[in-house]
Parts: sequence; structure tokens; C-alpha cells
Amino acid sequence: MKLREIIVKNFRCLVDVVIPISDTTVLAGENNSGKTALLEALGIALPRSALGRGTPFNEYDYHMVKTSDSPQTSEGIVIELWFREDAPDEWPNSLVQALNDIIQTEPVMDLDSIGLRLSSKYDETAKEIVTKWEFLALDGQPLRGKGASLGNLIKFLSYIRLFYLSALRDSDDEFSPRSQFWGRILRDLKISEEQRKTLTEELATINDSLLTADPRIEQVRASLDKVSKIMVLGTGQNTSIQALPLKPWDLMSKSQVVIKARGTEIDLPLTRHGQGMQSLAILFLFQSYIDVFLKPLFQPETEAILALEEPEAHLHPQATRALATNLGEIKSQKIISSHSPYFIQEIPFTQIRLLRRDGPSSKVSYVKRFFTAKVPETQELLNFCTNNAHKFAYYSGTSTLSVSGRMEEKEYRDLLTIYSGQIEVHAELKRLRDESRLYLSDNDLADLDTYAKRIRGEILFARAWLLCEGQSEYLLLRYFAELLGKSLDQAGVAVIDFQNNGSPGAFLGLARAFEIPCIMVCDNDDEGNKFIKQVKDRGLTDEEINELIRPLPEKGVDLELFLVKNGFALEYRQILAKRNVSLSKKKTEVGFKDEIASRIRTDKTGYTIALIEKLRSAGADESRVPEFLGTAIKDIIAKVV
Amino acid sequence: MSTREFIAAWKELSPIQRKTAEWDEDPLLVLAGPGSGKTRVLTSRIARILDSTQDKNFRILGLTFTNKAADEMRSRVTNFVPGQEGRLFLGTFHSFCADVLRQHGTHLNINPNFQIYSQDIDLQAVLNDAVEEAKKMSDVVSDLDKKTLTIIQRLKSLLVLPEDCREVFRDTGFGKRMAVVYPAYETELAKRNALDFNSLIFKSYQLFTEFPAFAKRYQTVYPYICIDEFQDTNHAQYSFIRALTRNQHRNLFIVADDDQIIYQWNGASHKRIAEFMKDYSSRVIQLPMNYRCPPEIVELANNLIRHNFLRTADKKPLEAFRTSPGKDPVHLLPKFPDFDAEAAEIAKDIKRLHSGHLGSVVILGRSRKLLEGAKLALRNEGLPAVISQRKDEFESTPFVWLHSILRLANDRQNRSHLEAVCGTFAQLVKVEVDFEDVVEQAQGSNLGYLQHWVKIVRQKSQTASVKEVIDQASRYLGEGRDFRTFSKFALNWFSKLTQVQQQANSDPTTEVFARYEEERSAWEELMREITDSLGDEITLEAFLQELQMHSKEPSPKPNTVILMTIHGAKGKEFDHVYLIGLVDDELPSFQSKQKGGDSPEMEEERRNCFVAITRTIKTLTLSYAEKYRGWPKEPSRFLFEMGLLSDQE
Repeated sequence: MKLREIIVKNFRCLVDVVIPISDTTVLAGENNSGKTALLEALGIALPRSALGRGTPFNEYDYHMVKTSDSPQTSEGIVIELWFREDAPDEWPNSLVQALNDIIQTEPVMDLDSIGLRLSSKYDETAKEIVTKWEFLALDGQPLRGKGASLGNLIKFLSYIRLFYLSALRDSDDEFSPRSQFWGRILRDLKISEEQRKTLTEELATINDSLLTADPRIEQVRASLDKVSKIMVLGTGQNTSIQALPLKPWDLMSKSQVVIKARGTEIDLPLTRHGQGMQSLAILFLFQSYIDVFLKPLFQPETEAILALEEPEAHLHPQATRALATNLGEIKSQKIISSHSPYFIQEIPFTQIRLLRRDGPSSKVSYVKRFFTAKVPETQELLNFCTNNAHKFAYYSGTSTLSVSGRMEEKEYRDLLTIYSGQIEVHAELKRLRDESRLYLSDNDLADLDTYAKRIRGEILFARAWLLCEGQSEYLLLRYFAELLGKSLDQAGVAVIDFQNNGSPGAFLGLARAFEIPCIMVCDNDDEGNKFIKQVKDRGLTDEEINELIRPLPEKGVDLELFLVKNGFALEYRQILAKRNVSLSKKKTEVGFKDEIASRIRTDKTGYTIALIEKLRSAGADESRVPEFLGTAIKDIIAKVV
Repeated sequence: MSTREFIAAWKELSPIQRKTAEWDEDPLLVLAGPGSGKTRVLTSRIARILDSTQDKNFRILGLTFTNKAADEMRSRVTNFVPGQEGRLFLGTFHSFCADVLRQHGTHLNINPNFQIYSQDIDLQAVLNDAVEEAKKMSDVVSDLDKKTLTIIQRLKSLLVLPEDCREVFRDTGFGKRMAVVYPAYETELAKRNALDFNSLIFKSYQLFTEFPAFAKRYQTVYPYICIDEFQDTNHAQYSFIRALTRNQHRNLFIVADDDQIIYQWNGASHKRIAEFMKDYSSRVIQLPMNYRCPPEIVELANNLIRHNFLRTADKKPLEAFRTSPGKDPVHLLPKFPDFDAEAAEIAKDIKRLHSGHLGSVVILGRSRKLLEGAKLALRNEGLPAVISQRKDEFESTPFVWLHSILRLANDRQNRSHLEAVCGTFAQLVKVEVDFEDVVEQAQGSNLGYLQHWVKIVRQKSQTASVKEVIDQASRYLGEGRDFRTFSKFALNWFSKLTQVQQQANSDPTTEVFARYEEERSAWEELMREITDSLGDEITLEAFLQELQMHSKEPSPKPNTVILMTIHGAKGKEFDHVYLIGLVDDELPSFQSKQKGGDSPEMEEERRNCFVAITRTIKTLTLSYAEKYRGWPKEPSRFLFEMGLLSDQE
């Protein structure tokens, strides 16, 4: 049973977010963007055991903006979790049997799901805050009948266990006999009665030998025994000294993990190792718990969800990256918050949910793998979906049409025909078509994941993107910004050279998906026009394209020629001369500038670096920045969210 | 793991009963005669499966003909395998279908908080409104169509959809009218968010056929399905089972006796058993042993039933397993001059023989009229007697109030429930609240009628006891409601009220508490039965729906003679049975005689007689008279067939 969607309303800064959940989901975002709030919301909605009438929320959990706001005036917290099958019959029969009263079936697709809602709201009649857990029908209404009984929650919670590892992981706590995994493991260790007896006897023998090793111990004991004489505890010897616990369990509860320190033969207790080592150990402890203990302790079908806050905490970059790859081995669903670019680097884009603060509330953006619209059910539509099952699906329980790909014109027209004359449905279908154009195909994503891996971490934390073709543009744009006194880093603008990292269309789709403002600068040649066409294909309006794409101002001009023509001919000539590159044309001849440009094209990056060095040593100022590029830089900084 | 009770019950099974109870999978038809211990077999099998799979989650579905039978089996199984009752759904077809629709009805646009209309008077009101609407839409519809309730019900029991009904009638003109009236009736029901009994089955059938995914779900959850009294299953119920199981799920365990079909008029048919055997290629086990009746009665029963031809081939005759009590247990009273004399003598006979243990006596008659005559005669002899019959609504003021206030809590804006609450509350505590005032106040408010009623009562009365009632109502019937606690409170409150009443002996309003005691025990019994069936955490709407399907008839007081129709006696047994009115035109009925001596209707009458006599544990007394309501009648042909009268006489 996998968690597939979380909806949170009015919980701290999460005013209204809907987040699809994959097997591994990484919540990326800056501090205060709501990552922890989301994980904690999940933890509250899936407690370790069903709670009584009390509320699990404190008053600051209710979203408040004005000083006059209070939990009473809040619209109420809602945390809604949807567990869904990805394919028919995915959930084992025994699970369906056990949770029959709360499982809802989407009848057309034959997919089972469970919806759980925790809500907390001030009730006018009862004059108190009413907090309740409810299982939901597909339309979001609370279940009636057997599904409404509270016993279902207890049962349900034995099939889904949420484990929360906060950023402040302290191995002293996590490896204590009362901790969630270690303690549970120790408590569940089974020692047969026979073995227990033998062990107890052996322990007693060892104890005795230890005590008799030095006769003075006996003297101490005899002296202490006087206490019992005064307290009249009975006759005989009442006081003894235990050098070690005499019961196997007492001994086990003192168990500790020791790891050899680097380069030595000394076993060091875990707590004496560095924070990073401790943090890692806790993660692997969780893994072994899931592997060995989860199912025997609960149900054979029980699954775990690991809510993990900042796995990168205390780890150096390589360890962080290694951890990201290792997390795949933990056999449970994982929801991870992180603000480490090193960690994010290893995570495919589809698994990333980007949280961002937008005024008093947070919003979430992500790469959509499907787009949906609410349309009424008709037989023609069902037929259409059956005939296009690879891409279209209809969920009658929620009247939702979903398209997992880009909707082609023919498909769009077919759908319009199904609802001919129904203006509202047409509008909804048009919206769906437009939205679907931003679909990133598996190929797009594969490209992005491969090429953009290096920059993935960084660009997702950026607040705006300046897209350019290659390395030269990358270097120049950053340098010109410096000349303009605008630090792109400080402003949170990432300059992305898309040719090395994917395609402009893919980056644009990505920018749209993550709602990152961007501007693209490209050559005004055939190549550049190809890029523009790619972007147009994503269904953008001309107006949007004009705003977004900035081809160099003159037809047929690429960056090199643009630079030569815009005041850098002299510097280039000097650089060429220094490199002993001679020019065939004279300064006044037609084609002189073209020749310079064609020379520097032979080593674009090299010449760009040389140019920047030269300008730097000459103490160039903002007057040297070509107006076109200067505007692009200023514009993107203005767009920063 | 097994309880002592279960081990003991298992040991008591005969070898063939045990073999049946050990039946594991594959379709099986158990042909079980009367008194063959089929309930014991069924419950033992269910208990055995549950007991051996305690670590599993699957459930067993057991469908019964009556709520009482379900309740009885459930308490036996619970006794055998305590703690496993959550893995068992034992109930009537209707109860199960209501549960299915509560869970998944939304896919057919059925609000889970639907009402169940069990009374013809409600359904007639629906039809009247529907016909009024239909008249606006079509010229062919007239007030005459308000008489089509039985036809609509018949259409539903045949699973004819409103849009298909035109074709069903030979009379095309009538078909045209029904094609308007029937859909209008359905629309009207939907408008009221109500379902009638037949739609419970029909809609569930539709759900499973339109969305096979749900059928699959139920097949997964209920890998074992048992049906009791299968012989009286009608077309709709059987089709529902087919839709539920489709061809994938073949694990059915069916208990039936084609000699006990008495609901042919409701669509039951001897062919259904054959149909089942064919559809599921089932095996058959016969349980012809009779552990209930004295051998003399078994012989009568065998004599009688062999005159029927529409029954399973190779059906074995009943075998008597009880020994004869020595004295002949069968008494045929000599012919009486008329029914009054017959009834009077029966009453005397009962007084003479059974005075100390009247509760062990039942009088069975084919029709209610006969029973009423007999009841009068018993009364003349000073014998307490009660005619057992279904009761749809509570009658005493306290329970009308309690039932209505719960309904109002569940159905926030229902005027008739509100009216009942206001009316009965005024009788109980003398606080008059005009229900129109409540409706008016509630307009434009998002609170329900109940909350406004509470407000108004609070303004009108300050007495401590009224305040407490009101406090409890707003506490337990509002948000986070707990209607069971409220019900407990109400019962306590009623007790206090009756005590006050008794002290003020001469109070003319004692009328208010007429039938209170018996309805109190009925309420408590129903509350237990329904929560046993649907669990302690049952929601109010499920409780009310289930309550609608249960009879509110109180269990008879001790030492009271019970009078029953033969249909009412189905599945029951009694020490002393009096079967009265054994003449042609009564048993067999006039209608069946019209159809002819070899008609299926006549065979149904014969089975009625068969069922009646096989209720007997100790003695069977049969009687007939010369005249009924002034008309001379012939002794019943069944008396001859049983061999109690011979043609020479």
C-alpha cells in the first residue's frame, strides 16, 4: 500500500497544497518553505496508535496571518492522505480483506484506494475544537456505514507505519532501550526458556568469580548487609553485589554498537564517533528494522513510510551523495526533506517536490507526469479512453479525465466532438490541452537527468534562470552582471548553458513545472531558430515567447559576431595577435569582423576566457556591457521570485 | 483454540452432518429436510472455518431469510469462536445489500444516508406523487395508475429497468403507461433519498453487473458464501448472487429444501435449485434425517409430500430419528359444525392440556382471519394469546419520540420526523413546541431542525429534567454523535417518567405509556441484535436503516399462546402445534383450487401443510369444520393424502 498524495490545508505555512508522492519523494526548498511542516503533518495524520478525543495540534499549527487570528477563526486544519493502487490487483487479497470497510474501488479502472482525512476545526455548536479522523469516499466525502467506525483507524495503522527521523538525530536517543527501532528490536529478541536458564546460571558463575577475585569485595558486601538488619528485611543474607546484570534482558538492554575508529584497532562506542557516522548508523538501523522486524511485529502486509528530515545533516558532500544512492536500498516508501544540492543532485527530477514560500503561505511545484480535468462521464469518452489507454484514463469515481502525455491536436478535436456544444467542457479541455504541452517526455527527463545532473542541485534552489546556449555565454553573462554591479548568485539567478545539459524545450518545461521564472538568450541564426521552434512547440503564446526568448538583435548573428560588432573587436584583435593568429582582411575591408568572429569560433570558450581576463585587467566598467545582454540580466533579476 | 461449546457441538454432529460441516470449497447443495439440524451444520461449518483461520482476514458471508435466523446463528457462531464475529456477515439479503449500497452506492448516485421504505403506505405516497408528476408529462397516465404499486414491485423483483419496462407487457397501452409511471416512481424515490426493499437487491445487482470491479472486491473479501433457506430465493436475489459470484467464485454452500418452498408467490421456484446445480455444477448432500418430529408425524409428512411432482429427482423421504413417545402424538379432532365451534374447542383443549405451559403452544392457520377467530376463542377461555406479526413502527409515545429524534439527528431537515418529535415530546413532558416555529427558525440557518428544536425547548422550559434531556440530545446527537449513549439515557429517563406516573396513579395520561414495557424490551432486543450484526461502532444511519428492516414486534410474554400464519412459522419449532382450518379453500387456498389439483399453486399449498406439521416437537392437533363464514367446506384433501381421513369416511 503506497501513499500517493498528500493534501494539506491551513497547517502552519501550508495553506493549500496538493503533493503527489512517489516511491521516493524529495521535498526540496529553502529553510522555512514548509518541508518540515509537511513531514510533521504526515506524522500527525499517521500516529503510532489511534488517539483519543484530544487534539494532536497546538495552537500555532493553525495557519494564522493577522494578530487577531486564532485557532477559533481558522478555517481549520485538513490533512488528507490518499493511498492508491498503481495497477489493478496490486494490493494483496489479505490486505483488501482486512481493510474492506475503508477501501474504495475506482470501478472503471479497477483501482483500489484509501483516503484518510484528519481535520481540526472550531465547532460553533460544540464550542470547542473538533478533531477527527475520517476515511473518505472517492469524492472526498466521509464514509458512512462501517467505513465510518473508528476501529478502522487502529486497524489501518497496523498496516501503515510511519517512522519519522528528524534532522536532530541523536544516536544516544535512537540507540536507547526505549527508542523506536533499537528498543523495539531489543524487546523483541526471543531467547528460549532453556537458553535463558543456562545464560542466567552462567552469568551467576561469572559474577561469583568476579566477586571472589578480590576478597575486599566480600568485606564491603558484609558491611552493607547491616542495612537490611536494621530495616528488618528478614534473616539471612540480603545484600549482594552484582558485577554485571544477572538477567539476559538486562544485559541485552545495555547492548551497544561499537565501530572501530579509523586506522585503529579500538572499538569505539557509536556515541563517541562523529555526528555524521552516528547519523548514518541511525539510517541503517532503520533499514535493518524494516528488513527484519516490521512484518513480524505488525502484519505480513504492513509497509513502512520513512519520513526523513535532512539526511545530509553532518555529512560531507561525498557521503551525502553516497547516502542518496544508498537510500534506494531501504525497502520502504521514503519522503525526504533536503536543502543540500549534493543530495538533490542524485535525485531524478520526477521525485522532486519544490517548496517555496509565497507570502504567508507555501506552494509546491513539481514535474507533472499527467494532467487532469473534470469532465462528465459519457460512453463515448469511456470508449475514447479504452482506445487510447496508453495515454488517457477516466476515473468515474471523481469524474476525472487524465492524460499522461502531450495531447495531440487530433485527440483534442476528438474530445471536443464528444462534448459538442458544451462550452464549459470545451474550456476545460482546452486548458487540459494547453497544460499537457508542458509535458516532459521520458526522453526529455532522461536527458535532463543525465546531462543536468551536475547542476540539478543548484538550479532547483535558484529563484530564476537565465538560459543560454553554451559555456561562452555562461561565462560572459556572469561577468557582465558583475560589471553591472548585480551579483547573479546573490540574486539567486542560475545561468544555465542548456546545450551542455539538455535541450531548451526541456529546460523550459522544467522551469514551468517548478514555476521558476526564466529568460533565454540565443543566437539569431538557424540553430537559434531551432531552439525557438522547440519552445513554441511547448504551446506558448507569441507574447510569452517574446518575453521569454531573446535572440541576439541582428538577423544571422551569433554570439561571436555579436561581440565583435558590439565593441569588443579591438580586444579580440589583440588576443588573436597574441596567439599569433593572423587575419587576411584589413580593418576597413568588408568581412573583417566576420573573419575575427570565425577565428574566435575555433575556440569559443578559450577566447571568451581571454576576453574576460583582458577586460578585467583593463578595469572595464558597466559601459562595456552590450545593452542587449545588460537588459536580459536586469530583466531576469527583476523576475526573481 | 476451540471453545468447549464448539467441541461439544461438533461431537454431537451425526456422521453425515459432520461430513457436511467439513465441506471445504467447491459448490455444494445441502438438501435438508425439516428438523435435520441444518442450522447446526451451517453454524458448525462457519465456526470451523473461522476457527482454523484465526490469523486470516477474509470474511464469510451468510445470507438468511429472516433477521431472527441470522441473529440466532450469529450468537451460536460467536459462542463457538469468540472474537471472530468481525469476520462474519450474517444477515438477510436485504441487510447485506443495504451494507453494499452504504459502501458503494455513490457509484449509482445513491446517497449512503438513504432511507428504507418498508411500509406500503409510504410507497403508495411515493407512487401518488409520481403519478401526479407523470400526468404532467404524459396524457396516457391517469389516477388509475396509482394502483400499480404491486406491478412496479413485480417489475423490480424481475429486475426490469424503468427504461425497459415498455416491452414487458402484452397490453401495449399499459406498457406505454408504465413506461412513464415506473420511471416517475423511481425519480420520486430518489428525490426522497429512499429505497424500497426491492431496490436494495436491484441496485446492488446493478452495481455488480455495471462495475465488475465491485463484484471482484466482494469475491476477494468473502471467499466463502453460504445461503440458508435457498429454496425461497427469488429471481432478483438469485441474479444478485450470480452477479456477485460471476463465474469466478464458485465457493457456495447452499442449504435448501424444495419441499418447503412457500414463497412461490414472491418469485421462489423449485426450478431455482436445479438452476443453481447447473450454473455451479454443484455436488449434493441430502440430510433427510429428522431429529425434531415424532415418527408418526414424519410419516404424515412423507405421505403428504409424495403427492408433489415439482421437486428434486431422487429426493429422499424423511427419516425419523426420534423415537415415538408411545402415546400417539397426532390428534385429528372430529369435524366441527362450524369454525366458531372449532375455535372454541381448540381453546378448551389448550386450556385442559397446556395451561401451565402456554408458551409451548402454537396455533397455525393458513390465513390471518382464522387466527383472529382462534384468538377470540382463547380470550373467551381467559387464555393470554398473541398473533405474531411484523410490526413496522413503534407505537408507544416514548419510543416514537426516541425513534423520531434519532431519525431527525440523521436527516437534519425532515419535517415529518420533526413533527413526530414535537408531538410526542409534548405528551411526555408537557412542553409544547410548534414544529412550524422550528422550521421557520431553521430557514436560512445552517443548523438542522434538531438544533433549533433544542434551542426552542430550552427557552420554553427550565425544569431540571427537561434541561437534562435537551443537554443530552445536543451533546450526543450533534457533532461527534453517540446515539447509543443517548438511547441508554433515554431509557433511564423513561423509567423515571413511569415511576412518576405510577405515583400519580390516577393520571389520565397513562395512555402515553401504553405498550411501553413491551416496546422497551423490543427496543433493547433490536439494539443488541443490530449492534451484534454490524458492530459496536455502527453509525446512526446504518442503525436506522437496519431498524427499518427489522420487525418491532416484541418477543411474546411467557405463558402466552402464539398464533401464527404458516409463513410466519417458517424455520421455527414448537412443542405443541395446532393446525386449524383444514378444509379445501383454506388449506389448500381457494386460489390454488381454482388453478387445479395438479397446479404448481396446489403444490405450494401442500408444502404449506408440510411445513406446518413438521414444526412439531411433541404433539400435533389438526382440526376442521363443516362451515366457514356460513359456507360449507370439504375437509382438506391433505387430510386424505396424509392418511388421516380415508375416502370411505
